[in-house]
Amino acid sequence: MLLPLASAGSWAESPGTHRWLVQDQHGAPLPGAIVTLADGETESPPPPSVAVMRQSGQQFAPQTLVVPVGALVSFPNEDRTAHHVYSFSKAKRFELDLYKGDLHPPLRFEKTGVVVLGCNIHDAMRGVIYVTAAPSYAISDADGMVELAVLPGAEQTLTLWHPRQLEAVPDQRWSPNGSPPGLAIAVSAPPRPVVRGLADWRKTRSTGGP
Amino acid sequence: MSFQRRLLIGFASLLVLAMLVAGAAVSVTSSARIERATLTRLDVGAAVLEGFLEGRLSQLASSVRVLTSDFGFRAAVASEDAATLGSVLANHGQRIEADLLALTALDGALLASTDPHLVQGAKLPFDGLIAEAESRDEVTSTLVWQDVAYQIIVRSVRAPDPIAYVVMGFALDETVARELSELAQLDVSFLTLRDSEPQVTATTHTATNLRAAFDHIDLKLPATQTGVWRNDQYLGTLRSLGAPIDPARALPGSLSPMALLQAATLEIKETQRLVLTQLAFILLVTLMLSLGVSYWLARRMGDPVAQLVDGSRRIRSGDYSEPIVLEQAGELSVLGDAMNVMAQDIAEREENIRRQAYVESTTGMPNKLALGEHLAVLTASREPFVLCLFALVNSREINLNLGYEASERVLQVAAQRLASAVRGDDCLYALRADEYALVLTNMTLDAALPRAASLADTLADNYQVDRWSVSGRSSAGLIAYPDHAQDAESLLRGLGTTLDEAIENDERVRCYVPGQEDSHARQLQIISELDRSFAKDEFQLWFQPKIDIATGRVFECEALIRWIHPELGFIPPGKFVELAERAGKISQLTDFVLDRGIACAAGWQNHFPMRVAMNLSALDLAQPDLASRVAATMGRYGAAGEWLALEVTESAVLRDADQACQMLEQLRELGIRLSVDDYGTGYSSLSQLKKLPVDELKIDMSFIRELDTSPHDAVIVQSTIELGHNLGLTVVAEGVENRPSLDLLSGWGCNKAQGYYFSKPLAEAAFLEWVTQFNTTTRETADALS
Repeated sequence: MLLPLASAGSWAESPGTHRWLVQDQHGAPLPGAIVTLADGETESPPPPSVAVMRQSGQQFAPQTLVVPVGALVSFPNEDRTAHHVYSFSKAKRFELDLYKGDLHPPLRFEKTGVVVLGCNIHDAMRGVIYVTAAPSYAISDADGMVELAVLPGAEQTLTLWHPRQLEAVPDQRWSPNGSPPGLAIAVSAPPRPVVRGLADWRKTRSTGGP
Repeated sequence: MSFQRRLLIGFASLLVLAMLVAGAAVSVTSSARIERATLTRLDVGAAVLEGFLEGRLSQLASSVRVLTSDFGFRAAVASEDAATLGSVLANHGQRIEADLLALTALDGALLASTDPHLVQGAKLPFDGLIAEAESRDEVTSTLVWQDVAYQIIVRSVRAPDPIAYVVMGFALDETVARELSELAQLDVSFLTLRDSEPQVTATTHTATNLRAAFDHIDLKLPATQTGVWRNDQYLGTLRSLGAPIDPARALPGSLSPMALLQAATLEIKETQRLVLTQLAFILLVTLMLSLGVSYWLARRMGDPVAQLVDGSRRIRSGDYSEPIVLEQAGELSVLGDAMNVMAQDIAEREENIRRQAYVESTTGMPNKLALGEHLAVLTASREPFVLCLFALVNSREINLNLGYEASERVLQVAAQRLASAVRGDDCLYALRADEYALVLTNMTLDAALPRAASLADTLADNYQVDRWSVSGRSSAGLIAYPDHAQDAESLLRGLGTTLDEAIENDERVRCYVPGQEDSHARQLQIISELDRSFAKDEFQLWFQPKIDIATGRVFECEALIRWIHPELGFIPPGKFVELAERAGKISQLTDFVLDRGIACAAGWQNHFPMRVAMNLSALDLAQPDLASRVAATMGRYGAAGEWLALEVTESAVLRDADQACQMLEQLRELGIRLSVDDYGTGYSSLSQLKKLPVDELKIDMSFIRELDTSPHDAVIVQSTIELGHNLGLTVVAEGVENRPSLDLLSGWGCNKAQGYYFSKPLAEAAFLEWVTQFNTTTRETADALS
């Protein structure tokens, strides 16, 4: 679902970048949305040394990670409890047996796609690693704003994805000379905050919920 | 219907009614109570069913949860390898004993199943559940698929996002039904409606019971209907299991399951029958008891009533001897006592009346009624006895002379005399105040006769009343039982005539002579034939001349009535006149005499100028129309008063002197000559005679007949003639039978003579002939003398 994006270009931009506001189906700013831009010419930049998908407070941190194809991602466990991180996603199937700390070596993500992460012993833990081939990509911040480096190509493809998206949003064609398209996506309601430990559990019990 | 029976029937019907009502009420309430209990059982059963199924489902769900969180299982599912998936399902399905296991992709397409009907790649028949599971992780439902009811759990397989759905079904088969049945103590059937027809998927009913269980049960009702289904043998409740499947979303083959819980009503009926049997028994026992009690009560009330009725019957029949005694009377005893008092009073009064009825009032002696009863007893015992009857003959005269009170005292004294003279065991009765009967038992007539005579003498002794002394005249009659008469009535009649005879003949004692009643019978015949005789002209008027002594000629005659009866012959007037007086026919007789006498007097006047004298009785004088009757007859024949004379006896005048005098005056005014007849026989009162408007005195023949031989009579007659002349009356002598008497009379100046010396009474023709001859002879004699 696309909604017209009003005064999208009114924000101050770094040179060679463009800022978008991502909105949900209600027009509210939507954080955590992944936006990529490709022009078919520009090569994706070399992957950073190692991307990190930490486990902290029985959550993946960050919850959503965008990495270019071929990137290495390490899964350090900062919690006192062990985790058993796995993924049955087609883009990357793996399983990191119960571990604490930075036991396992980083994994290389060589296929594009969405890799959904889970912990076998903490069902509530959910993380996403978005593996993209696009040279420009970003995740909307808490205000729903996303800033992308504008590519040189005349015709560029704008992709929008969100972990809670209800439907896949078709890619949009965009010419940098033309007016930038709005970014809107229908998402499901955010999940209830997960109980991470006994302390939290007690707190929710005593206050009757968040 | 008797009081008792009415009471009994009333009691019994009231009781039966009460018992029937109670029975109906108990029966209704007991069956209603049982039905309520059954309905409660059904409700409880339904709750048990729901709890059971829910529990089972949650138990199963937890198994499913365990399964779907199994990492190996999830890994296998994620592998998307069909063979692996199939083996995993079979393995895990066996582990949790699921009857149906399937795995679908997120879009509902089958990935694998344990059921041959569910082909890989096809859509799950109940994919509505999948749609629900998308948002809820886990969905449970109960549905019928392939003729089996299943509890279905659909749960997402997460990694950690949903990657597939596990569908697990647990069949509600007969094992489950039996388990439930044991818990709820009800028959359990799982069923569904296929094309509106109930289709049973599992049941605890046996095959034979099943038909009866579903007989008349219409399940073509909304599936949510949870009312009560009832038929002959079962009460049931229907529960829909799980949410009904929206027909729009239901795929073919998936049907809404229901559970029918049933309780056999046989028990209700059995209980009802038991209750009714017990009630009938109680009714019977109570009825018998109550009938007994009410019979006793009815007797308690009815018996005294019957006894009262008996008592009142006894009182009615005059039996007062036995008082009414009421057993168990209660309130009725008051009535009984009142009736007893009443009976006692009636008895006393009756005794009083009886005493009075059996007592002669003047003398205080037992009366004729008492005698009758005594005689009835005596004749019944056939003991011979003699019955005497005493009469104070002159009681009437005493009454006339002394007055009522004094004469009553005389009678009382007379009765006392007799009473003190009889022996103790002889019974004395007063038939009238002056007539007393005496019963002499065990005595012959011969022995009785002197006793009766002495008693009659006692009765005839002088009575001293105040200053007066009165002599009594008594007669007695005797009759013997059984020689003279065999019954009380004949005895009394015979005795009555005997006494009459005795009185008539002035006898002191007379015994009954068989056949003496015949003369009485004759008298009765005479009386009865008086009327007939008038009609048949059997009466005649005869005439006897009165000779004028001075001239020796006949100017007068006395008309005398004669009755020649065709059978009885000549009947003397002394007899039938008295009878006619008694029979109240004297005026008829007098009219005849007047008519014939006046007719003759009138008829003879031209040739034989003759005064005809006729007799009047005392009763004639008492009749106020006598004068007018005489006048009418005179008028009829054109007779003058001087041709007629009427003779009355002194006693006839004395009966009611004033009235008689008036009547005589009236007759005298008609010009009729009046005579006092039979002078000297009665209580001759000179003062009376002086007042009487008469012209003539006739001296009774009893003084004249033996006048020539009786100096005593001669004195009386001579002085009577003088007396008559001194009073200015003509004097006639009756009964002159010979010449010496006639000469004496002639010497004493007697005016007229009458008697056989001249002629006896003659019939008209003979009399006229005699008159002619006598007058001629007299004239010749006179002529000869002169």
